[in-house]
Amino acid sequence: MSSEIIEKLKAIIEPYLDDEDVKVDSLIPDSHLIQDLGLDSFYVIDLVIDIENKFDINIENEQISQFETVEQVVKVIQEKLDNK
Amino acid sequence: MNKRGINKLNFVGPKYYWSTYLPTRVINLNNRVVITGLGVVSPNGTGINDFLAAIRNGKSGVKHDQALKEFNFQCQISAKPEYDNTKLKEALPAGLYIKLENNAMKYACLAGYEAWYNSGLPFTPKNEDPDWDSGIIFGVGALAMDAFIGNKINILHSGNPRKIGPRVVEQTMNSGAVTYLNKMIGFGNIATANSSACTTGTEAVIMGYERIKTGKAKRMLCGSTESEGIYIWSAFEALRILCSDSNENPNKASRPLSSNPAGFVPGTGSGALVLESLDSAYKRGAKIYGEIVAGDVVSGGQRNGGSITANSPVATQRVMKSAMEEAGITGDDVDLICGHLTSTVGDVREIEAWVKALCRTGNQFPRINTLKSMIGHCLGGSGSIEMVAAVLQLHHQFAHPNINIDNLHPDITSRIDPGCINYVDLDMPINYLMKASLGFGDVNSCIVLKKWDAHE
Repeated sequence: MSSEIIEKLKAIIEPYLDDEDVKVDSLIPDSHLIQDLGLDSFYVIDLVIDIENKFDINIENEQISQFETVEQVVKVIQEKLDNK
Repeated sequence: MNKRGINKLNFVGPKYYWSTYLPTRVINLNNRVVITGLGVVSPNGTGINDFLAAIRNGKSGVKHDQALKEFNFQCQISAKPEYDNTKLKEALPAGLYIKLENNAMKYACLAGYEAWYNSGLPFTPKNEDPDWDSGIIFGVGALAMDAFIGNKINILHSGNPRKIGPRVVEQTMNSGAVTYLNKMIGFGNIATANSSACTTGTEAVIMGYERIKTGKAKRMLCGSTESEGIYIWSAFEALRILCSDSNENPNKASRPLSSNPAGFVPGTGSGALVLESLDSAYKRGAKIYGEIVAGDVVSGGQRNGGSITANSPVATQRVMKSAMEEAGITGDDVDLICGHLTSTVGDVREIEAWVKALCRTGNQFPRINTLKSMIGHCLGGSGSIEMVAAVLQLHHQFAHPNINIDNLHPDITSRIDPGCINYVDLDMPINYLMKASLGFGDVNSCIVLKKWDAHE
């Protein structure tokens, strides 16, 4: 997994962490966006837009359903970057 | 009621259909309602302490507005609150704070948070049941004209609807502020937003009062907020009812009761009050600011001289009389009136309504003041901000000054003695206070507050 993507993703996710007990440094590939990081479901849509802007990619609606864990998000980003 | 403590409903209809049993609920339709928390984001002071000092000192919150000038408004002044962004960040969950673009919601969140904190009531922990006995009614005139048009419409018009982001729904629906405050506090009772133009804030308090009075809730966060900017205020500029003769002298622009009112000054902000059943407040030893003893809302139906923009004198008087009747008082019992009084031609009509409803005139008329001389007209936010001012005056036993009156309107002095209108901060005993708000669409609301006396 690209460490560069992970670092960028951490910076995108951090402002959305409502739960003071959840720190962005504890984020691992298996971290579930909603169950582990406590993100609201509509925060995920915010993440999608932030990711699109940050990485200059377009994420399709059907790919958003894959946004469950950090690893899945990174995978989608990587695929999009590879196909640019 | 049977021995198991359940009610059997005796409605006409098939027996099996109405055989539903409901848990016993002891309904008291006349609970006493007190005010136990206050919060405010006002153009002349944010937070209760600053606001109290501001209204006692007659501080104006009206300033030059560069955006209005750049867009060729004839009115180039406005009244906007100043607030500490770190407090907003502290009050809101991080994920809500980061994408909150709507100022009306920011003001509501700050005012609502302060009021709830001020009341000493708990914030429901994230993983617990909400407080089923606490609710929220937080209204707005037009929540998102500037937040949406100003921030999003160009993105939409460029053919990128998805790029406007997922927060547009929650930041444009009228219950947007309710939604955020609910996330912050955790209500389990009613959570809704009312809207009735410039009566919105006062109406929200009345609706909350009625809900507690009839036993459907024990605690209610009530208030209102309003947005700001060129889009919402252009509507009033087009109506030609904004003040345009004081661009070089903003502090003097809002002149309710004057001989030369030149239109209202557009303002924005939010007020919030925690209402509570006396029983609930007593049980937890809460500080009580005052008691709401009556409140009513009346529409004039745009008849009898009423219109979309002017309130029917009949209806305005009716709501004042109705509130006094519910409170069990007469006009003679009223010590202070906190008027709607906007710095327009409507001021004379309102004074006439008070005179007739209270049956008091000349030097027998009670003391009267209007916060709009300091903060302009905050539209949907006005009623709740002014209600907070009213409660503070009742609690601290004073009448704030009316500012900017060089000469009273002759049609006002022909009805009430000039001595009824104070120009300085005035300590005075207040047992009963009446507050009215009047709005477009010919809607009228009035509340009666009573000084809290623990021995009654």
